[in-house]
Amino acid sequence: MRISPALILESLRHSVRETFETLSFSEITGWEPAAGLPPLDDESSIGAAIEMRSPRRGRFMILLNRVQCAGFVETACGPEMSGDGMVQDYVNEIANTIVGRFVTALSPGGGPGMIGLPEGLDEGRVPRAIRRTDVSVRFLVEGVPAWCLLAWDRRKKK
Amino acid sequence: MVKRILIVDDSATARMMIRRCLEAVGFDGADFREAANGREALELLHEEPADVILTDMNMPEMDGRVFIRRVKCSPRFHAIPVIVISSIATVEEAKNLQGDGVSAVINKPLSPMVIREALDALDTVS
Repeated sequence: MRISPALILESLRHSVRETFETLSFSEITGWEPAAGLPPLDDESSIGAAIEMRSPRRGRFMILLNRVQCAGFVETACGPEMSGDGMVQDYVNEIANTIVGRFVTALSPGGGPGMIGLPEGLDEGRVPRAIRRTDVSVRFLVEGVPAWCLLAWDRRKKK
Repeated sequence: MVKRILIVDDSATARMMIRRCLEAVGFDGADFREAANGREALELLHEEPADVILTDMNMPEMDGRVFIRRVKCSPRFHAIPVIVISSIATVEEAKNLQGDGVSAVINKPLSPMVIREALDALDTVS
């Protein structure tokens, strides 16, 4: 189905803003399309990817600052819940919420949006589908750079 | 009055967020139990039923759809109110879920007041 690039960008921006405001009480600024891929092998980054199945197939990836996310987890869940596993779980939930809101916004007439389960990205490991991006956006979470990427599935339906 | 609350979500972060929202709107004295998927939730229910179930839809092993169907088909559990908290709750899906016996559908990201209203509505109905 045809979805306009303007609707895609606006829906994505809205989903990202709403998710961060609610899950981390943080403000999103500096939203701008970016050229190419972010520094994916940077150890200071932590990311999550998730498959989109409907209304359009593709893959979403988000890349955030690891230290900043650890701070968000500690604030939201308390120091007893912090740790690498919890930070990754938090980033996965950020991705899950953003993509859920995003596909819902793209679903015509409130039809069902479908997504997969989020998966954490090991350092430097990038899903093959995301190495070619259709949408790459850089934004700031409380002034700290972050990226989200979309790659649409170009395979034809059988 | 809701005392035993079962939270079902594969994300520990989401479970904690839901719990914090509930505590913020007056459920801080409740008995919270948590499960990471529908299968675990059913095991907990068999140990002790809940007064209300808050469940995600998109989970591994047993997703929310199957879990809700199992609960609503169970003579022992079918009367337990189920509230769905999901990031992919479209208007159409919400109608379908309510037709399956779900009491309310709440969109993620969650806000304390929305969850309070959903739980207050359960008290009004009961």
